[in-house]
Amino acid sequence: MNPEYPLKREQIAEGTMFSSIADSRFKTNLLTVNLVLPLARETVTENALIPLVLEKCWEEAPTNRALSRQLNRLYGASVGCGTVKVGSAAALTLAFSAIDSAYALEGENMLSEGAKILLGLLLRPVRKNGLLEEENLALQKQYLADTILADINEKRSYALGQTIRRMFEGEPCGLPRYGFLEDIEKITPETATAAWKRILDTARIEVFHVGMGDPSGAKALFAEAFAGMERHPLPLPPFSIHNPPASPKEFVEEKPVAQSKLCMGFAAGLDPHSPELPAMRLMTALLGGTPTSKLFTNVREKRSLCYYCAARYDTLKGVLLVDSGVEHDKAEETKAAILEELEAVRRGDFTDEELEFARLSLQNSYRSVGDSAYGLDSFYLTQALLGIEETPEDQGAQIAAVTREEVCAAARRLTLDTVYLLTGSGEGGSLCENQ
Amino acid sequence: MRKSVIRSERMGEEYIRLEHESGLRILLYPMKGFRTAYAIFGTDYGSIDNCFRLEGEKEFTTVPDGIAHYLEHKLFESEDGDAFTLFARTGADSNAFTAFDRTCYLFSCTDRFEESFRALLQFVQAPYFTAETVAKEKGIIGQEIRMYDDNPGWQVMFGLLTALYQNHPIRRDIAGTVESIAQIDAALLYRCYNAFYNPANMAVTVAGNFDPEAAERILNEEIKPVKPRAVERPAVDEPPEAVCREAVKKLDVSEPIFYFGWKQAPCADPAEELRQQIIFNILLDVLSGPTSDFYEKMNRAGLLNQTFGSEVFAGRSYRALFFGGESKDPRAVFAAFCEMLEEKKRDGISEEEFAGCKNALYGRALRDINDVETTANALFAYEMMGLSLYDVPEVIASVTIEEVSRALREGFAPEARAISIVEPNAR
Repeated sequence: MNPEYPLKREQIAEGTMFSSIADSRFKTNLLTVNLVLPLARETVTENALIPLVLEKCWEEAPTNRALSRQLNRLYGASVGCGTVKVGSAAALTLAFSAIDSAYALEGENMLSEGAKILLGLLLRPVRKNGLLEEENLALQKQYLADTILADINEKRSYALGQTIRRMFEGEPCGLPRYGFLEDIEKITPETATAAWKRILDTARIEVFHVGMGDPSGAKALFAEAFAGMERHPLPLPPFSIHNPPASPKEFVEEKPVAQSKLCMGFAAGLDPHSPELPAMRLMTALLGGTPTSKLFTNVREKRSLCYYCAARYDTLKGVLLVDSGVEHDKAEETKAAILEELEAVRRGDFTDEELEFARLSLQNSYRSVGDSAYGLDSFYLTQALLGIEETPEDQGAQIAAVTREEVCAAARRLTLDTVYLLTGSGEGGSLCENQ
Repeated sequence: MRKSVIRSERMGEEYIRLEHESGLRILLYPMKGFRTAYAIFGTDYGSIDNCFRLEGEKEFTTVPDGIAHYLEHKLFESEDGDAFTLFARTGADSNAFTAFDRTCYLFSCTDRFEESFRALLQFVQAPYFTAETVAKEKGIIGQEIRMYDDNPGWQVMFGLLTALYQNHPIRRDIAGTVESIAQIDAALLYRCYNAFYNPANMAVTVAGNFDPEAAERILNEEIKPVKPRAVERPAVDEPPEAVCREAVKKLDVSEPIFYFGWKQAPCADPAEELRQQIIFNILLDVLSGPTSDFYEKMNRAGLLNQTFGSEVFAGRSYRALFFGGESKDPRAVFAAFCEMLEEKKRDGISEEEFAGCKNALYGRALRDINDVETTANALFAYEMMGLSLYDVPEVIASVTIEEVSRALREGFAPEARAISIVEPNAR
């Protein structure tokens, strides 16, 4: 145990942790309930739907309108939900954010109010004859379907998502975050209610607080609510190393788009606890993480091939992704240029200055994490799920120790796994037909 | 430099305002406990400033669309390399953006603030444009434009701007078009630079972890004495009527995406303009926010989902009210909204609705001054209006239901409205 570790963690019930970062710089408090479950084909759609159903209302605020009024009275507090994939698990989140009691005009205990609302949404949803209320369920099923279909609207994120799906075909972490359209139709009030109960029974629950307020009142409310529940939390699936195919998989998808999106996935063969992780992170920054990176200076600035060409490393999947938006007839040239830059890093063909710039930039981002409540929440949640106890500063210090040779070795670890190209003959939108 | 301290009793906070001899305005907001400092050096010059006349000139000059944005890209380049390298030396994260009515250069850092701050002040004051460097950027910006061609959110907003505005340059894309940027050369960039990058037309804002005395010293050393030279933009002759009722575009999207809105005439007085913007913010929330009849009805009818939102879209010389989202039938939503307006005008707004939305806006305004980036940007935006960011919570607290009711009666002229729709391609 590191006594300096800012995250104070406490088990409040079986498989249920309450963690807090008290920070007086923020005038606000952020409170999140994270339900963490293994990803599986059978449950991914239901699991994405339930938070959308729960965030809308509860017994004391039985319509979304009533809940919105309740939040307006709490000085425009906000409630939201989200689903993120954490390797082979999914974290379903309900979040409450509001100004601190210090600024509340009527002296309300804002954190306790937030805890009451989150617990209400989670444990006391509006039900009829014991089943989740039908109209809200139908609306949120439609919204989930709209969200899945709307994936195509933003072409850059669509292309990245398609690359991951193809790269991890048949593996849990290749499942789409929001599940499958064909599963939505089959969901009934009975199955949704059963899913809600299953999630409550089997999720590992992580409650997080970041903000200036004293969380003891909120913690007591959570402890009380979960103390009487007999739950059976599932262990998180272990990390499995992804094996790349013998030769890279190539996919071309045609759509009426003005710009082609090229996306390349590389397998790194590293697990999230690997001692080689800092070198991989530094290598990623050097290759394509900053405006002085190899990809930015050469593919964009020298060759004028694109507006963006960036690399990112996903620790929880052990994969490096490079993506760029290019003219349709420049995709091959761009792909070759990207591989050339990676080759250069493998050979050690970069200056000490370039390496230093990447290092400084990465250390700067680690030092910035603590300045945002959402940044702290997501950084420490990941740490908690991985069972790692490192601060952003610790990770920055690891970057300081990485050598040039380790960076080259990290680049050599990468195997091109999947190349995905979204292309077409579109000119963007057709002309306006003004009427 | 002339120095004053701006205080908010309500929030128990303060910041420093300086005025340099050159006319440059400087706002310094140290924030205790934060690791990051965030600095902006920006100018009151954006994509809408495509026609201007310098003090002493006879004629107005019209420049190609997208030139402010092009200039932003090129200012990063100097004779001995690009400005990104200067920031890379200190580990700072640097960037820039061009909006309709401003261009900002910025960095954030957790260490060696003084070096980065000096670099920011230096590179923005040192233009270096050659035929070669200007030509190189055409491919890069061409791809930036292409990226926006495929972006439905951007396309639907510009659909509405072109449907609402006849003459105002707000109807033109910030980055211009591949054709318009082809006309840009080094001489034109210098001309725009000299017109709008005069310190008297600019401001510096810094928020977060830094020493204000050091910042002041560096400013004194780095700001070049340039004679203020007034730049005049022609008055835009914008009729109150929209150009057309509806603009439709087809793109590869899953469901129709829409924006509808009303064009308004902004107030000349900045304090009054801020007040009007806040009044309309409250009104929009009352009319169509999550507590409204309208949203609940449309949501239950399957016509609106939680992607729906509204905004008071405003800046130097323009103001409009926007409503946007996804719907299988945007025209039905628009018609229902217009019908609801008439009912509300007849029946009035309840005290409860008003108080709830006002309370929420007040809380959100306080939450905005919670991180260094938002604070630095808000300082800049309000300074450009001639106001302080502390004015916002004060004005919110003083808005009355009578003002909001009046805005409802007068803010939605039927001839000033239009709808823009991005429809899925026929499959």
